[in-house]
Amino acid sequence: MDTSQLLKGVLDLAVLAVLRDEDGYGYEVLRRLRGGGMEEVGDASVYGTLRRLYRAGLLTSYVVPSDEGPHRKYYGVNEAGKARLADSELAWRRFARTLDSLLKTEGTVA
Amino acid sequence: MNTRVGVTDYLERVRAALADLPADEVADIIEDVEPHLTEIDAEIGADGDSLVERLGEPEVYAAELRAAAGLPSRDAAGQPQPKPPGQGRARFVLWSLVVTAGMAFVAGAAAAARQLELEALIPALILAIPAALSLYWLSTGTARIADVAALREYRWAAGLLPERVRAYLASLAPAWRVLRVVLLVLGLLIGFSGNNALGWLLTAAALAAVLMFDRRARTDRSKLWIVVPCGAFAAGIALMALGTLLDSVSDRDAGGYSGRPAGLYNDGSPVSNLYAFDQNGTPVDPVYLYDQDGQPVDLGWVTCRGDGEPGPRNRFPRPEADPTHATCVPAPAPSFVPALPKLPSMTPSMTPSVTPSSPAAGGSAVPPVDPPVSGSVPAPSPAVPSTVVTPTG
Repeated sequence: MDTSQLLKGVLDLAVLAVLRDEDGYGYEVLRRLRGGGMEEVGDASVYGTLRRLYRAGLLTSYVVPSDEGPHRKYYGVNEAGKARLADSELAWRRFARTLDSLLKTEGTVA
Repeated sequence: MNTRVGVTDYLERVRAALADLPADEVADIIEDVEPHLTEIDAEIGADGDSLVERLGEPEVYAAELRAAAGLPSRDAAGQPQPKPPGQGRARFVLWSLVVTAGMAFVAGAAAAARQLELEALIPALILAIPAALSLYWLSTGTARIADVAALREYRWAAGLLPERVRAYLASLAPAWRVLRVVLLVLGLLIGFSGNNALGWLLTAAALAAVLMFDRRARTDRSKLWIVVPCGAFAAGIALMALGTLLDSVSDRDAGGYSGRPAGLYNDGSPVSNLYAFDQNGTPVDPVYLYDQDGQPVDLGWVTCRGDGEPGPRNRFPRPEADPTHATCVPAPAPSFVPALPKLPSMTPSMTPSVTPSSPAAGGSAVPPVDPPVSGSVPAPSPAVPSTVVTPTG
């Protein structure tokens, strides 16, 4: 199965995760995701996700002037974002465990 | 530099693909995307790869971004949502033009007929409000000409005429522009004066509007909502003027100078009465006159009508109106002295009275010259005498 379909569901969580420790601008977020192994994530998906999380009030944003090229807009996780991250992380672990065990059971039966 | 153009280009296409979103949303997105593109462009450097190869088509990029951002996709947002209100408004705009133009046509005809009443103007002005609203919407972009042209009824109406006919009509447009101004000016100059100040004012307003907006209407089609009703007003004037013209022509045919005039003419002047004399200068009253076909000679118009008995219309002298014009009275004795032809032994008599001035001219002795003169009614129409009997006294 195409992993990009799986990615969509967890992109929120992944973006919040890579911003938890350090703020970053869009392309940085993308690089962190790819560097962390999510090779297939699309550029535009990351930017869209950032917009959506920001509109949902989970991210702060600020513009940093850049010497070369246009200003960069940095994003950081605020308190609401951290709470959401904690919730989502729990939900993900629970879900992953469930799916894990489901896959194991199915595997033994087959 | 070349690569920079690539970024601008790509960014513009992304922006265009997001154009239906709120402006500040688009600005925020572009603020994110622009540094991204610049950075990737810098990474790509000079070695060939384009932004499109790296990121995909800008439109696909924009669609992916929308989906991830939870924004409505273009199909969902662009089509069903704004379309119905846009269509409804476009329909309002179109029909307001139709109604206003129709009204202006009637008003133009009424103005030309000098029958424009102040009371009629008030509903007309109320009905013109939708056109004014349409104009406002069109100029602010709330309604668009493109939406109007996309309306079903508009396309249906446009489809009624074949392409060639429409092209021909369009070729007449410049002539109509001129004619329209001419009609309005004519309306000002001749048509409306005195008690028709309202019609005059409307015509002046229409003329001013046409002169002001006609040129602009060719590029800014929303001005058609001004120019078309003015043109319809001019057309109304034209219709009424044409009607009046036709009326006068047909009047002339019926009884005017051309065609066959009614009545009898003598040396170019209408004959109002006839007096007959016998060879002796004695008035013959009454006398009934017929033409060569036995048709009674009819002078064509009556000078009196009423209680009196005009009698058959070919009975002469005809009765005349008394001074009050109420009734017919017998015609007075002729006020002239007939210059009778000189017959051999006959001296012209000085008066129409019985008395011959010369004894030689004698009563019945001499002249056999004029056989039909004597008392009896001539032969042609046998039907007449019976009718004659009754009315005459």
